[in-house]
Amino acid sequence: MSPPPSFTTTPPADDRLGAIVTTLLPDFPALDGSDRDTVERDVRAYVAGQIAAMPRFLRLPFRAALAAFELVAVVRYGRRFANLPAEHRAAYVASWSGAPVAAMRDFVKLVRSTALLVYFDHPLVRVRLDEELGAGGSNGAFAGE
Amino acid sequence: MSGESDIPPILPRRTEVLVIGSGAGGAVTAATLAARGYEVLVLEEGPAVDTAAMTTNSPQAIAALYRNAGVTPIFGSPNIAFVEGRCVGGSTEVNSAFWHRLPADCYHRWRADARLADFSEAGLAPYFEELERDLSVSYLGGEQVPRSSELFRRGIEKMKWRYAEVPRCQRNDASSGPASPFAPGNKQSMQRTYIPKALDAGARLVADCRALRLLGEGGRVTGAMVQQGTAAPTSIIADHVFVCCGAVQTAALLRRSGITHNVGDNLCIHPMLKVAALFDEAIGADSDVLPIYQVQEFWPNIAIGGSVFTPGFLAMLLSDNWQTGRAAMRDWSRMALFYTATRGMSRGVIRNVPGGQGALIRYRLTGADRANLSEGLAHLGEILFAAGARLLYPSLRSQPIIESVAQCRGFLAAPLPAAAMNLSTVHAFSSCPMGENPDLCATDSFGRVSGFRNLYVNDASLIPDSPGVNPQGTIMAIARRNVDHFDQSQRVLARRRPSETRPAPAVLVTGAPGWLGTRLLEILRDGMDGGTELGVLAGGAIRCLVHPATDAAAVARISPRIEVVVGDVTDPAAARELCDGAGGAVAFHIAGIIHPHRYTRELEAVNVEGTRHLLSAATAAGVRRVVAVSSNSPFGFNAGPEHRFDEASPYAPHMAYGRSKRRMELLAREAHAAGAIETVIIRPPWFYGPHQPARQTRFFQMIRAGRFPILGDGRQRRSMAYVDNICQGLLLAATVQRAAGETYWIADERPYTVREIVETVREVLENELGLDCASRQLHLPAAIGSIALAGDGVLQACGLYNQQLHVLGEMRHTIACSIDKAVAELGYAPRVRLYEGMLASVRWCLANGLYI
Repeated sequence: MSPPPSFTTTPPADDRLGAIVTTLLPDFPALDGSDRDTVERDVRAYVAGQIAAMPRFLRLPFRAALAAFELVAVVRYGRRFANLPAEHRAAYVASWSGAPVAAMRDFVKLVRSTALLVYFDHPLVRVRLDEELGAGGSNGAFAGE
Repeated sequence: MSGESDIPPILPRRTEVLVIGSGAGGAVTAATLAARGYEVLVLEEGPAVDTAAMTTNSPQAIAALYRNAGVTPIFGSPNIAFVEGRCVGGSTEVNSAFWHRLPADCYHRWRADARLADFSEAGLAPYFEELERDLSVSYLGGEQVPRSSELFRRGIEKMKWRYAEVPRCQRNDASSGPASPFAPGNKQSMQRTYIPKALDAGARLVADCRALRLLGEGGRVTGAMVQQGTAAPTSIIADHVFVCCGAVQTAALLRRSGITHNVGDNLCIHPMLKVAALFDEAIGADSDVLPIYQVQEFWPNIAIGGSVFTPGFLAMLLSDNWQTGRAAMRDWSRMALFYTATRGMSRGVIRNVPGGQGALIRYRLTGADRANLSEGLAHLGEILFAAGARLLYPSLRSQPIIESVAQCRGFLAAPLPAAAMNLSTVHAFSSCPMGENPDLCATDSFGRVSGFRNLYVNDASLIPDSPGVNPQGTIMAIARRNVDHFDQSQRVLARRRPSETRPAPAVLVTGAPGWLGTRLLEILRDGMDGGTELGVLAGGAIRCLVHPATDAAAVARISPRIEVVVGDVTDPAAARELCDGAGGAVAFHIAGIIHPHRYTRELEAVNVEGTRHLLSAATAAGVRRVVAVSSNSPFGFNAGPEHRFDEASPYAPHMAYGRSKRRMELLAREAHAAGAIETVIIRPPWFYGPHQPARQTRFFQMIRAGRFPILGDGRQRRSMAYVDNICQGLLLAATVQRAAGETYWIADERPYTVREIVETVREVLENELGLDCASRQLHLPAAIGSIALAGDGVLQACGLYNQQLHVLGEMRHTIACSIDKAVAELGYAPRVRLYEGMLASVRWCLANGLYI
């Protein structure tokens, strides 16, 4: 039997998806700088790995949606999504999340649900959640996206 | 360790038993057969990851152990996320380890709908007991009830609803207390139990090896084409193949291999809605053992229980409505997850995506499913609010929060639209149902794939419909049962196979294990009531030709005198093997097709060419006499209700079947005229009696339901022949000297009107067996029969066949014969009359679990 796998530590080559993932991650719980970087890196890699593991007949439509996401951002803002300020990235993702077209909503839903699953079950995040709980729970402002 | 895992194991190229899939069904199959001395090779598509060293609901585990890295979409309205394992041990490595025996209502329903033979609660109980020992199935016990379960129970008890603790397949360490089944090493999955058993008994297992398609032809598989990792595809040769890939992948593999009859058209699932509940207190659900209670009040259609919790799983649920859900995350420690699921009334479809990309699954929620899920959500909400929950967060689009019981109860009055539901499922089955119902089932009652003699399915695909509970126990118990049947059949066949020292047979039979053939073999074994002497046929060896796609072992089990030759009567070599060394024997040629599956050319192949091969082989081997079973069809319809066919009646063959039987008779006469062999032709009309096929049972069902159509005034007459009466005629034809070269009509004492036949069946059902029948019977104008006859003629002219149309086309006509010649020359005296014969037929159906 093989030993259990760990998080992929090599960042994915295509960071279009990574930028979306980073935008979707919440600020809760509070993480220090290096932990935050580690968590974000791991979540980006995980989500990219999940997409890569999809069968081709599902992966191709996703890639097409990703390309459309990028293209519309360029048309709307004049620059690539990854180069947008944080508030613009959050607003753009929110617009796709609430779009009347089901494919746009499902695209964001897939990335968000996978990213949040990995984020909140990341060992570093779990430690922080437990610490905050032991300290009486988090009363900090909570912001997502 | 890591170095060893880098080297792929050498893939064996040949094995006795190939098991494809190592989950609940495959592991049991492999372990049982290996322990009994079979050479077993198990192939597993997924990786060999040691689940004893990991938390199996972690993101890493999801990536490594689940198919498609966590989610396989089921397309429909709405789409449903299907979660299944893909690793050594299959879904048992990632599931909750809950254990259920099959609910009692399933036994009766499956016997009725799928016509499952030999399937009962008592019969399956020993297998459940054995599995429960092997898997350490146990209750949590003690006082350490998870807090979320305690709250849940509080709510259920306030509602005064039935519930129970569900046992699980896991070892509880008495010193450290209960632990989660997802914690490393606790769950008694296949990697902890049956895989090691199989390996210890000598089975081999190769992981990362995908079966591309099955190989073989003519009712026999020869192995599989497989691909190990990224290596070039290669073939594995096997004597027997068990497909145990799970409901989706088994159906996909069979269909890729060209096996499509009732495969992948009947997928059942348990659609599930999840709910997060917020309480006033810390729950600690993330560190708890799995919730242990399930609500039974609304079984079998609605299940309600607790669900595994991690902050990540909570976030995933809340992500459906993240704008509101994100604020709830800060209260994660006061939350727990629950679910409601329904039995699933719809039927999904599995097809292969072109290019080998995987399986495409479609499933459309029915109105009943929606209603059940809505009701389940309402009741779950009632329980949780009764337990003290403050807010509920359901996996519904555009309905992020439920704040009151009244809001929940609103779902009872107005079921949720399908598009609002965010559904998932972890249970899939029924894609290749087992049983004897040819309209539903892909395999026989023991998993043997229809049309194949050495190909089996032994996993969740077999379950005929949704059991309403976690199916792992049922899958494993059925798999054990089926393996036992396979092993017994192989042992019987091994004792019965022709050998160099086999005794010269006194009797040859084609057409076993068919209706008439089976009854004839029983009479040859037991003798015949009423004094018909078997003469030279008594006590001698019997050799049967059995089609490869039928159960040869069932024929061999009828009597130790029986020797089986597996072969097709259309194969001259099979006919020669049947007749080899049978000089002086009597052959009963019963094999034939009455209702071809689709094409009329099947009639020519079997009824004409099959007879030609048999006569040729029998003549060459010195067989003394061939008794050939013909039909009334070479003579068409009587001129009127009072007319009778006799042995001098001219041929007027009805459709393709009649023509094929006429040619069969001519071949038999030619063979007799050539002088080297005696032949006797027996013409029985409509059979009835025990061992009847499904169409005859449908006849009873239709009469009981009032749907059997009586055309015209119902006074047209039909000669019928109870199988024992036919067997008497066959035995007389075989033993009476003067029968050589003759033809005899063999039937009951007199013909019956159609009205009389239907009334007799109704009387038997109601008066003898207490079964209610519809108060009225369907009557149709005789012209309907004429229209059907014309339609049948058009179809058959195009080489096509439809059984219902053909039978309806005959029903307005009289088909009746005289048995005077058989009475006079053979001493034929039919002993069983219509009422007695129908009573025996119906009793046989009920004794064999067939629903009327």
